[in-house]
Amino acid sequence: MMINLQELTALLPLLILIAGVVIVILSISYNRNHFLVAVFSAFILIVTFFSLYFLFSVIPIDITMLFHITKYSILYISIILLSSFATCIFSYSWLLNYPFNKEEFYLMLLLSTLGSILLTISSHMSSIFISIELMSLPIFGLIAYSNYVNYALEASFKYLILSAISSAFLLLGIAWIYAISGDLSISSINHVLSFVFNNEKLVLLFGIVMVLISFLFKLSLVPFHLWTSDIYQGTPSSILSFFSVSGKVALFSVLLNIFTCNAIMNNKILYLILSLISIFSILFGSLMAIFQKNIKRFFGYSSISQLGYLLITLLVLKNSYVFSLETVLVYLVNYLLINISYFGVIQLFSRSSNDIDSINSYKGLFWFQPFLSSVMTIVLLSLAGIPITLGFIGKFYILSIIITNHLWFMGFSFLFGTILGFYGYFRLIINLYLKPSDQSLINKVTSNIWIDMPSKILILFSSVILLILGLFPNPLIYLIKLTG
Amino acid sequence: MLLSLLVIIPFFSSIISFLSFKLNKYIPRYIAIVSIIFTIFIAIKIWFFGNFYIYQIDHYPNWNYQLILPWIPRFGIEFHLAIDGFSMIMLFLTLFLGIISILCAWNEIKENEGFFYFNLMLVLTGVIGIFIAFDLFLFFFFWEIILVPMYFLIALWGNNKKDKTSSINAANKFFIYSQISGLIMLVSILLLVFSYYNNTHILTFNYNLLLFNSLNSNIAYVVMLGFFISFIIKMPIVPFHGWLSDFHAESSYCGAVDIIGVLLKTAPYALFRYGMTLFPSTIQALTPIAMFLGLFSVFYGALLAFSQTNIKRLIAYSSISHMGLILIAIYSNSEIAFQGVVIQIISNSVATAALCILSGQIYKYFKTQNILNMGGLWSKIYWIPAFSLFFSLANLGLPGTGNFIGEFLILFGIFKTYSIVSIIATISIVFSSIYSLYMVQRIYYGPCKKNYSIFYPNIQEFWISIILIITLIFLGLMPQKILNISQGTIFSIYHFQKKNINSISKTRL
Repeated sequence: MMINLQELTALLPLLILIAGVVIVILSISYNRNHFLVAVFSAFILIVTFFSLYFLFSVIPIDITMLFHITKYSILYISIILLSSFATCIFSYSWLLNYPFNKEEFYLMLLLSTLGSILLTISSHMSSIFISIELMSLPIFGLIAYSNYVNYALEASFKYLILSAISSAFLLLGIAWIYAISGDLSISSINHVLSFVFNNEKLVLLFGIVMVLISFLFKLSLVPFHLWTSDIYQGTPSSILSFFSVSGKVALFSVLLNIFTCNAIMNNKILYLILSLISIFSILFGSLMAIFQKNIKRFFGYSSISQLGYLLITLLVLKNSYVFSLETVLVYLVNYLLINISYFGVIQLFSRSSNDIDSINSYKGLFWFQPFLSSVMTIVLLSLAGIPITLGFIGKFYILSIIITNHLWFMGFSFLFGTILGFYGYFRLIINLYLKPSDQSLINKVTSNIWIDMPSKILILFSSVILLILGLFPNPLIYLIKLTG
Repeated sequence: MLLSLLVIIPFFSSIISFLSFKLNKYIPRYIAIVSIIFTIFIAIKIWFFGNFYIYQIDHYPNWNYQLILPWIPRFGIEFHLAIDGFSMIMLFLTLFLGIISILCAWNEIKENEGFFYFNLMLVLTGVIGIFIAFDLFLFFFFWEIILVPMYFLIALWGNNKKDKTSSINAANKFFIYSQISGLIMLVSILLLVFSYYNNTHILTFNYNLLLFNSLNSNIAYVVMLGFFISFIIKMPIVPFHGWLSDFHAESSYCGAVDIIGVLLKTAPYALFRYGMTLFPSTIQALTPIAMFLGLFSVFYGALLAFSQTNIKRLIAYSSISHMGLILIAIYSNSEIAFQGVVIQIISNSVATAALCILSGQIYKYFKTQNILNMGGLWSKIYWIPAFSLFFSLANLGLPGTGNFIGEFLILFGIFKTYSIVSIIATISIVFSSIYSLYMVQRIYYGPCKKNYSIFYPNIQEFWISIILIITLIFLGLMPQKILNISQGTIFSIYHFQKKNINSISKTRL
């Protein structure tokens, strides 16, 4: 198999990342130095991020038959890289108190990042399967990394087993598809689906639904969401920002790839299934978020509803392709920034072994940590979609999709979901401003300023960007137009 | 540029007062009041030094000042501020009541002043923005932006200092009602904009362009209904009034001045500006519904006001009752009634704000809002009972006060177009006099329930009341001054709508 220079250029970010992984392995085996490895992995992620610039000259491009890079995938990749970078920064201070070996953490983080990036650009069932595995296997390790913490092992095992089941579904689905199409690239599925006989079509559709189930599991949408809250609770907050963003972004971009096929988009049954899933995710996620007492579980449920909103874009891909891709990107950038700030703030308080994650202990945060709680307020406002935050722009995009395509049922569930969401988010916001309770964080924040500085800067940066892009979304829209 | 300063100054002063709290806790309130005075100067400059149209112009829209900057070109959204006579009046009302509420809060708010003035100024920014925004997206933006600081004002500086749950519940209720209203409005705006886009292939949120839409009548009806529902939730008109009384009872009176005085008046303004003009051809279809809802809430509000034992709830229901009257007037299709609405909006705001302040005073001294626990306070407090009597009488429309002029113009105007409705609505004055007098009688006359020592009200609060009284009497004696300012706008809105109705009836014939 020949690879020409253009394809190599397109693979440049991946090659840099792989080189980084190798160097990290070697440096660990030679001499353990936590600081060096942390700085190096952050550096590698940054270099990878900037190397994306070289891709602009070669895209769109097929790399062999496994991968396909478009202009949009560059943005997805950069979202993943940023969340991974944030995790590097957040984890450093958390790992300082970790009693065992620290350096492998970054190795697994880089590997998982690699998997997610591969997933965003894969256009072949086999590469999709392998990248999903590459993405999620290190995550089991990352969740279980803090095995001395309550619920961490439980969460890791739960995710391991359920994820294995979903992989089995994925394989099964791929096999069904292969039985009919004889080829695994996504475009061939489209090709075959458009002219096979009815009974063969049924088999193929069954396979696609199987694949879809596995994806929906990883995206934690409604019938397959039961794991979400437990795993969010068990995972350390510094990893959560990565876990919550990268996997979902990557999987969603694959879903978008699959659903650009005409034959799949035109299928009535799939359309119905997707719209039901979206409606139920929105309603269920926002409803359950109201009752949560744990701040991480709360985010788990609210992320279900956030992805439910995002799923609406899949339904209208046929009518307004460019517009829905724009929506997805605005929404995902919003989701990234929210995740970074939200879990960054939680992480800053969690120097000890267990994260401080009961909502009650954040009561009255404003009166002694005005900076962090202002950040938290901005994040929650953005989640709720109140004007002057980027969340509102995302909501505006989705609402305009609903209205231009006349999805009235979706519109009703959007209204109900948003209002339920408001209740949940404002419960949290007002909690930050009440009188502090006895068990609050007042005395627990004893931080080393220098170690926290990078995290604080990152949190501040992302929350300020949330505000600025909420007021002037033009740069973001321009960027998307430029790449798209 | 001058126009944008109207929004920019309060906005930045809110941030500065928040940040300066760390330096000295008295700085925020000075910043707040200075910035409002600056804003007033700018408003005055716009008013006096521009060639302000006070004569009649028969084409609408006709702005005296406009500022258009591109904002989000992707959707054709502009930062579009404009001002005309009607906006000018609302603007001055906002700033006036803004000063009053800051003066009320001056010595009253003793915790977290920085954050309080931050929220207060943000609310004022939003309200000013609502009155001068003429891009539908920008309008929605300001409409939504006031909710968050208002939520904080109710939830954190509520009446009950010890237990915050009830004020948080009231705040939640307010927020969810307003969000429903906001979302319905956003959906209607988008529906309007995208239908306009389908017809003309211009994607714009510009009010001036959308004014001349040619929507399919079904869509127009849906959009108009959306606007109508979202505005009457905010007004509030009866089926959607649930939030107001709780909200009122729980919020501290400094916040309540803002709400009653300004926030409730954004809805009639918006109904006038957007509901009436955007769909002049379909507005007729809604008139019976609006009339019915208006009449219903006039009587419902008055009856429930009569049965309340909490002063603040009583005031809230009385303002629901007055809002019903305003709604009827807006849909009455009569120019005189429109003029009456303007006067009624101003004088009703002033009167209710004053009643709120006085009830807040009483609460401060006697620690109760329950009417049944009061009685015979006339001999116990200086000045306040007399002021209360005056404002209650003003509230029920005593000649010589602005409310009388407003109600008179409204009822007189409606009589020409819908005489039966006008006759029924007139009966409501009897009801309102019953609950007003009931309130005054129960609180201030009769035997004293407990032994209180005699109080003197604050000199500051005394002067606030005096200023409010002067305003009301001025409105009552010289309403023409106000009518002159708003006349151009009202006249052109009326004729804009009339022209459309006529053209449609002609095409039908």
